[in-house]
Amino acid sequence: MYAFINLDTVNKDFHQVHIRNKTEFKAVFNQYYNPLCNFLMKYTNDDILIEDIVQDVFLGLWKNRKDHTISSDIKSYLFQAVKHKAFEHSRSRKSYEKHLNAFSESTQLSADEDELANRLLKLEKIYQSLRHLPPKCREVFELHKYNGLTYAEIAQTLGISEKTVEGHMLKAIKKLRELLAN
Amino acid sequence: MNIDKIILKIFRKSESLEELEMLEQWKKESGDNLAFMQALNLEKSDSYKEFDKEKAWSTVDQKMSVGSLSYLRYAAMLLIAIAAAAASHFYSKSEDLTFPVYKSMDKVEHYVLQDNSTVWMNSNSTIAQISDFKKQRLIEFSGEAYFDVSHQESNPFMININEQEFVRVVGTSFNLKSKGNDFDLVVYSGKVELHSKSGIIELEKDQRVSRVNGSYVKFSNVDINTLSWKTGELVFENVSLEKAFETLEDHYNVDIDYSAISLYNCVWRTRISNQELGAVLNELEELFSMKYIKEDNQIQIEELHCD
Repeated sequence: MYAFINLDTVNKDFHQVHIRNKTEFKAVFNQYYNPLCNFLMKYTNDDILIEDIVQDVFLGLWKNRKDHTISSDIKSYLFQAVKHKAFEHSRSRKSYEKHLNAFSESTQLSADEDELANRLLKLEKIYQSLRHLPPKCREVFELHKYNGLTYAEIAQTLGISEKTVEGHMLKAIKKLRELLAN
Repeated sequence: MNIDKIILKIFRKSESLEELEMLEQWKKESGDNLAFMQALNLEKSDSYKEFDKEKAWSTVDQKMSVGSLSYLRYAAMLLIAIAAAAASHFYSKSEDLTFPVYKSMDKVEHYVLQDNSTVWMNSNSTIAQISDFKKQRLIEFSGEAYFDVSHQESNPFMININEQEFVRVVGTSFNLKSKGNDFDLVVYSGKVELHSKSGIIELEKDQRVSRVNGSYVKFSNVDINTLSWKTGELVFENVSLEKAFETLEDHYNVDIDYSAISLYNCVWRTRISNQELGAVLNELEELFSMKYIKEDNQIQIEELHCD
């Protein structure tokens, strides 16, 4: 009459998140991809391996998106899943000695790992905020922060006064802090 | 002094000692502030690296539509496609192949199902929706839960117990415990039908059916503590201690061994609202001069006096 599913065996590895469509899934992806990759840098320096693991975890998330169980805690789900996959990998490679202590033994996140996860998520938010700065502001900010130009050099390059450069920098800092407060 | 201006000065390496101290203070105020300074590379961070998110997304996006489906699911999709016989419906139909699963781990959870029915699930329970809820609302269930099913006369709500037996309602509230061979159902409002191998058992408010030695037994529910797992409240109205201990064992998941003493003539009248076991044991100590030893989940009662 009705197909019977043995609930004790079904969905053992299921974890739940409220993702109703691809748009919502991509939003989660954007927010978590870099933090998860950086989390794994604790385990290995192999970027290809890192990205493979994280992409795998996201595919699992998409597959299991309709399970309602851990709806409130997507963060724990993702970081735990990534950690779990790293364990699986190290077992399959028998590379015990190298990264044995990268993560705590438990499937749960340890307090340290949770703190690291939170910090990485915040950093991601900051990097994303950088992209939302007004173009001129961002240009000045990046020339200074990433290209290491002095205010005088920026002023010369962009043909503006040093005072204006300083104005842009102040605006950038202010704006960034605003974006992050939200 | 404005913190933005201090940061600006630090960029120019023209900050004063005092300003540096103020910044240190500000960083300590919150993790957000610290993360902010780290992101500005003014603070040594764990060298945060930006991976190529766009490229990663396109890889994931591609695999999402192909790689994640099993052969079985392909077969199911094919069958549905044939059944639907309409190519335009193909994708929306295949979407519906997975229905939500609700799970409670180590605590009571509250869920609203797709049909607006509400469920409180005791720990370690699972509900799996197995139909689209459009013509009939079918679920698989394991564990204990209180169901408040939304009334839909022509769309019955059915809970499978095993291959042949199921519970059927159209709109009611009831508590159901079903796991392995354990079965216990208490109705709080409306009507519930239990379709068993030996026939249909109908239940109304305050009626209860349990499985005893493999067969269903129907009786009136006089146990006011059936929902204590959900409400956290236990009520004993001059109940024998023997019965009360049994209830406490269930509620707190402990074993109470009173074989060393006599409970003859012992009755208890109390109301326990969301209390820890320790507080309950304290009350027993005071009321009955009880003495006990507790080891993990084992409680051994050594002395107890009823007047």
